[in-house]
Amino acid sequence: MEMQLTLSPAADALTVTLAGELDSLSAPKLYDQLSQTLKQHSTVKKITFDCQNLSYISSAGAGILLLSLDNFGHRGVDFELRHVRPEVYNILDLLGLTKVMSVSNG
Amino acid sequence: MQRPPRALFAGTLTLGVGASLLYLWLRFFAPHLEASLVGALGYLLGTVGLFGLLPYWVPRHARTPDHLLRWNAFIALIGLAHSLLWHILTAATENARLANLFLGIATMGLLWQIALHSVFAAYLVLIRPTKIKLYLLYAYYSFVALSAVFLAFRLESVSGLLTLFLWALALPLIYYSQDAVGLGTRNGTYYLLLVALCAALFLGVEVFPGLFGRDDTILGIYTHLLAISLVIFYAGLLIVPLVTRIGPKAQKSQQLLSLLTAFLEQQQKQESVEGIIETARNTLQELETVQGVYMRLRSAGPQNGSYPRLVEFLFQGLRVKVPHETYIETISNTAEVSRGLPAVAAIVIQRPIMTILSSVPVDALQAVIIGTAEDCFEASDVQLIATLVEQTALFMEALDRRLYQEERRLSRKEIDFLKETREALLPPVPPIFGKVAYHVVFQQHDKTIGGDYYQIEEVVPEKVIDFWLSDCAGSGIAAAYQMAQARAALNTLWPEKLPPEDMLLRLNDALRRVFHKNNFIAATYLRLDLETQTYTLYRPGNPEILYWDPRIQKVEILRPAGVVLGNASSTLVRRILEKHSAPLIPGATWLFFSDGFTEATNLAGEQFGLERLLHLFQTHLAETPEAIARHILQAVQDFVGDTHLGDDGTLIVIRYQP
Repeated sequence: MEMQLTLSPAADALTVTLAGELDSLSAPKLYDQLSQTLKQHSTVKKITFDCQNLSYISSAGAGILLLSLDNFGHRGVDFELRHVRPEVYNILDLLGLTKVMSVSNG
Repeated sequence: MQRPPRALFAGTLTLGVGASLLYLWLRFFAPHLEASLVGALGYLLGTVGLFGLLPYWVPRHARTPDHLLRWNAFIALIGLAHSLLWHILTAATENARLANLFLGIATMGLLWQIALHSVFAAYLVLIRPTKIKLYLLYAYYSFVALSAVFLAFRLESVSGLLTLFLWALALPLIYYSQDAVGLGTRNGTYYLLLVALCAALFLGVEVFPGLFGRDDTILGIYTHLLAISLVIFYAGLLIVPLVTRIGPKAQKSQQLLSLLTAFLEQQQKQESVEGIIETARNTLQELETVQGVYMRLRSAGPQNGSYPRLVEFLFQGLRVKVPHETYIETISNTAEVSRGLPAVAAIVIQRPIMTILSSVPVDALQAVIIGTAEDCFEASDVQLIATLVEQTALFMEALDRRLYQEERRLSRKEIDFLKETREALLPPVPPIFGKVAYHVVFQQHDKTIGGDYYQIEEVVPEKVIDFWLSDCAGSGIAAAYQMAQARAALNTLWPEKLPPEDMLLRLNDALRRVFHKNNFIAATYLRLDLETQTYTLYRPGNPEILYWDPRIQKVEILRPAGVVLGNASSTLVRRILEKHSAPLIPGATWLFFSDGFTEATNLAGEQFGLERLLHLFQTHLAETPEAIARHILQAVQDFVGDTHLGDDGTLIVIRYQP
């Protein structure tokens, strides 16, 4: 299933709604769109990923989240993953992402 | 060229029939009158009428030499029966007037038979008409008419001379009709038909009158002379081709042969469907009777406005045909099909094409061929056009197969390249250790390169041993490059004898420099320090590790946190990376595996999973690392139902046994 991505920037926050599967095909698209949006909205200090409809994340997907955190975290941007389904949470936990970003179960 | 109106010929035929009936009436009711001129007039008018009407009854493309010969033979046999009947009746009757009538009927029947024979003979000659053929035919009929006129005035000597010319004219007619006859089926049936025809004519004209009494009237004599000219013509068609092979037939065949040869040569050079269609179009356009050629693939769909109205109308008719239906129709006059269309002949063809590469497995080649005039296509034209369209479709199928094979050849090349690359990337030969036993199962997918890589490195001889298992993202050439980069970086770092965490972070830095943002590797890294009697385990992104702890006699699932390498900064990786370290205990056994084993899928879509792997590991723990590895591999293969897992899979069983 293809990933659907919605970005809703506000004054200092950006909400990213993820639906479908975040894998090696869709992951670069997420990174590119995040980069573009953050360029246009330099005041953003927090990115919240709404993962309620994210059914799968591959290690490539997790890698992109990590890369994003690595690159944008320097600018003081916080990452938060909300409503993460258990199966996605397990992968993030296994890969150690729960250690470096706030991940809450759905 | 516009044909004369049908009514003109119908009227002429009617007059001919009327004159013939009048002749018979005169023979019975006025036997003392010379009615031969009336009879001859009936014959001449009948011939003209039949000659003019035949194209309306039978279009040109249906007037094949074979058909014309069959009709001739049929008429000859009917005529034979007719002649026999009336001659017998003539001989049997004692009534002079009746005998005169019967003989008149026999003669008139024979004349109508000759009329039909001469019309069929004329159309046989006129297959692929030329001016010479037309002039010869006009001359023949002129002699027929003139000799009738001279006979009517009892100038037998002039008439006899003209008849000699008539007979002589049969020879060039035979010569010029060879090509037509040659285009027909020259086989046993052809000869049999001609023999039957000549025999029947000869019996009806010569033998029966000889046996039962001749009609000695002027018309009777004239009929006899005409019949002989026809016997000469048909006998000539039988004999001449047997004794000579020269003539226009050969020239015409040569032209067609060179046309076909050029067509085939050009088609073989074509590399696209468009090129094949264009070549076919150009070749068909060279035919004398063809005015326009329109070809397209059915899947191309409607192309409104790009065709003349007539062509669009004819293509419309093909839309109701299913693609796998072969269809050919010859329309002698399109004006008769729909009002407002021009009066020309047309051929409509659909030929299915079986394709491999196309998303539509069955397509169809559609062709509309417009003639130069109405009823202009000979049967041989239709046959030739159908053959060329058929060949065009065959070339399209061949092109499709060629492209398919080329594609397969390329992918086979890629596979060969991948195989060579894979062999080049195989790990160095693993060393043998006295205190550590291990066994590796490295299952590579047949047709590509996965990202799996393993290496066993003796960092400090007899003291420190590293076990490495990594998996690059993706597959194919891209994965092979990543693997090669990771392999090179690893083997550069190992001689530095770094602590495991430093080794991983240095590797991460190195890979980050060369990897694209979406590339990374996942790894399992175990270091056995035989000197300090400890082991250290890291799991940057790879699946869990199964560990048999001899102290507690239990298999543990080790899941130290870790993140893939080559993606994020080492600062971040360090924050996540978790070290698992414990004392080395004799009998301790580790099982590393890549996701190719746990994600091996059976036909029902079910994955092998960690639970099954754990169970197998526990069941066979008492056996050697090699036996454990083989049991697991066999179980996974049984589960999948194949010797291949569907992806690369690596499994390493390590046991410490001092």
